[in-house]
Amino acid sequence: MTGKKDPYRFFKIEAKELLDKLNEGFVEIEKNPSDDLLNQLFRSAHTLKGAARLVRLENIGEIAHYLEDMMGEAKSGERSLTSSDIDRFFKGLDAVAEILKLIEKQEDPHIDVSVTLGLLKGTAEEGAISKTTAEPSPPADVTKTPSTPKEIEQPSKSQPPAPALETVTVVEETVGEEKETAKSVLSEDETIRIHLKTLNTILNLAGELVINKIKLQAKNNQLNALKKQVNLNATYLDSWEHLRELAALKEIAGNVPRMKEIFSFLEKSVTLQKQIRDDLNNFSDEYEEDIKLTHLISLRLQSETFKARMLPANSILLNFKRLVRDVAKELEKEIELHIVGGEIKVDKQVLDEMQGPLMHLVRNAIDHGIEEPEKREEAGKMRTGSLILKIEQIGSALTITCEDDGRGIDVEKVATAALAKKIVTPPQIEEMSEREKLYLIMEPGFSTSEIVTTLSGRGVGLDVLSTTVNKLRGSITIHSELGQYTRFVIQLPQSLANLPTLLFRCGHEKLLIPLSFVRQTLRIQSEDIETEGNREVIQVDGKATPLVQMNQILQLPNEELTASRIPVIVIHSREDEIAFAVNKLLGVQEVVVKDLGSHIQKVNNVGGSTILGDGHPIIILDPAELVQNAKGNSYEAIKFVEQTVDTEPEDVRLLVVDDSMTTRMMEKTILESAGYHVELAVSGEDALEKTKLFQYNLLIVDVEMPGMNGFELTKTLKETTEYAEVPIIIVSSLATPEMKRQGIASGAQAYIVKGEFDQKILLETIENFV
Amino acid sequence: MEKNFIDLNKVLTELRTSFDHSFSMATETSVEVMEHVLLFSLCQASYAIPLHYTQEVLKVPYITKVPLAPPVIAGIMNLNGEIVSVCHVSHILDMPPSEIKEESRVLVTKNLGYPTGILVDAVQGIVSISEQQIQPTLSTISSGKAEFIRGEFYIKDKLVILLDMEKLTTAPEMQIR
Repeated sequence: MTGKKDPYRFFKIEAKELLDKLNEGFVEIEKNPSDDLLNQLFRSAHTLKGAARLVRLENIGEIAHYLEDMMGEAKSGERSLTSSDIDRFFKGLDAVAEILKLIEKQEDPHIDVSVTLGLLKGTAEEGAISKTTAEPSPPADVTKTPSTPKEIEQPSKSQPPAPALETVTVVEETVGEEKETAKSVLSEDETIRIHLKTLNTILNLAGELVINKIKLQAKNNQLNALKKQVNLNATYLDSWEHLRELAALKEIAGNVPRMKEIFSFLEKSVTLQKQIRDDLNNFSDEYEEDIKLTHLISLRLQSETFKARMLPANSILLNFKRLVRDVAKELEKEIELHIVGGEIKVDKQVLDEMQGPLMHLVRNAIDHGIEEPEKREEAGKMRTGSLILKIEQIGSALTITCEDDGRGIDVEKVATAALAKKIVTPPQIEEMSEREKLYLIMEPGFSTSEIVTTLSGRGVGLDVLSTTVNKLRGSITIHSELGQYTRFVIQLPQSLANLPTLLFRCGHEKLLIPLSFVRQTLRIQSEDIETEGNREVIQVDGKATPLVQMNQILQLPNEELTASRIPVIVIHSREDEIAFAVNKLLGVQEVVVKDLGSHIQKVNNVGGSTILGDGHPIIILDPAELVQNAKGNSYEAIKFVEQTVDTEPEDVRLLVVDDSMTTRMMEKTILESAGYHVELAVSGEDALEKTKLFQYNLLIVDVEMPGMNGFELTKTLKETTEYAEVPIIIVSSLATPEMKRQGIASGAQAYIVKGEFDQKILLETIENFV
Repeated sequence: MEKNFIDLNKVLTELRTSFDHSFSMATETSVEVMEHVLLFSLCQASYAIPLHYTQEVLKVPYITKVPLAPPVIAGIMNLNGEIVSVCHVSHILDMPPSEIKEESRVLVTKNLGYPTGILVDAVQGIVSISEQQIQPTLSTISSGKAEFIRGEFYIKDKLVILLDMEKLTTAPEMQIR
């Protein structure tokens, strides 16, 4: 960036917003006209005009001015808006959008818009003439079908059409109002714009703060060791206090010269030592509290910064209304667009990246999916096709569904087209299942549309969708039934900043894989492995799944998997599942996704990196590529070495289940400083999910939780074979004997009351069990 | 109290002298354009890069290997929360990759607007050289790496090879796609 200030830097942001509002508003007003909406449109056009003139963009100014006039007339009832009026308005808005694009590209935006204005106004004059000559017509049927575009309505108010001069005064009156509203909005809703890069820097620093806190924690451990020594010394001194009371000593003190003096020095030293011990203990306690607080604050800082990156999905989805209207009109199709879940907040970067590909998906659905109204009627469907754009949030994953009730995808046609375009060879097609053939439509260069239209069918688009989704570490599944529907389900991490991942060790390297691609993890023994053709498979949920060693795919040094039970991660991508054998599973981590340093664009099988709590970078794998690369290749068989696995201290894994973040973090801090590996679950349901993925050595469970409570969770877990023997400690603020009885009845090994909650009690209880 | 007064005259005289001095210094050196370069060793040879390319010099931090990355990439490191890749420049210069020892350092260089780490065997210091000192490269250097070398110069009879950072950081081997 140059130091020169962009004269349009604020204008382009504001203009973009106003343009979105106008686009959205015109679509809406065509369907549901209302005075409120007219007012809004009038104000937006007016604001746009003012802003454009301020930065000397007369072209935008004139278009906005005209729109403002039209809205003014419509408001006063002099004019009712027809579908063709709105078409003309859109042309004006498109011209504005073009000019904004020029600004974005830093080209000269002062283009001549007289043609656009002619288009806008020429028809307007026609309207004005017919307006004056038109006979009185029945009052406002403003909801019009697009089939009667030329229809012009007489003003619904009884008064005669106002002369031009009067209109101007009306406009000016409203200008005053508008300014006032603008002011009050500004003071109520105080926001500032911040560059995404700045936000990312804050996020990086927040991450560093967490790492620094871990270093402080390590220092605290040193301090504790020191404290132990001082306390030990104090016990020696205690024995001195007993000794000095001995008669023999007293006698020596009385007889030996200077002994009294020596005794008094010792006395002073003892007092001082005790003082030091007490001060140190106090200091250490306070220091520990401070660290805990720092920990909580830094986590809070991190999560608040994550939230700042989120915007409601509507910020892009509302544009789709206009898109659907225009495309449907051009193709003479009737389509109802349903947007569901637009209020769900999504990472800004995800939204920006997905907007283009999603638009393409929607265009495709209208162009290739939904049939012409007549054809639909012949097929016994509703004349109006339905297009659903649905955003859902399941856990930390985001699902975008785009579904149309059109003709569906003809798999055989897809196969033929793919062959013709040489995307696949005939032998490859032979090998493919029906579902696999469906995915050919996302291959680069694929297009089945017989006519290449201006809208879609250019053979690009779906592969762009696929590339974008991969880049965002998401996945796409396609469902379709011929003649019935086509449904694209896109799964994305809700936030790029905070990706849940699975941490594991492969050889000597620690690696991460996005959790949304992990079907499950399990431990296998040599007898679980079967041979199918030239490759090894294991049964996962009754399905033969290829088994591959992770270190071979990644070409990491071949460290033998030296356990009698080998951990396996089952990774899925589209329709494929592959089981990867690794050395050790290390738990679930939420991480901030980073790149690989600026000049590494892409490395095979690698999706990105992040920085772990110890400050070291770690690689995040690309699951889709891993599965594709592992598919169809055969690898060396896995060697089992029968050996008893000895439990390292880091192997003691605890799961803390509590719905209160403060309690969770406090327990985590206490337990981690005692050297345990701690993971967290926010509810009983979450805990059940996590216990399926991992075998924990002990659980600490809260009782009062929304949904499944602690007793129910304990009971459920105790009924499974994996957790029947695993100790569960219940921590609760309910202290009644009845509650304790219930706790024990549910199968819990211990019951700690929060009132008497003391880290010593908690740690001692855990030590008893593990 | 009195000694706390500033002798304005004295201060002004001092300023004047130092100004004159710096002026005469400037005219002396203006004949030759001096360039600060950072000296480092790699595979028992001495190399130099212009100092303005260097953002910082670090003791070798924890470097995470990137599986399946080309050999030029030593790995990635954490630079204040930012991921920075670390390169074996030795690889581009047709030399064996250097082992990490006590004296090894990572030079964080900036070019093209982003930082890149370069692994070297040791940093030897900063010297100032003039354009006249730089001689064309002798034919002893293999043709493969000649394009990354701007020239060579002597510091106390020791040959130092001056690298061309523009060409080095934009080398195709460095762009991993």
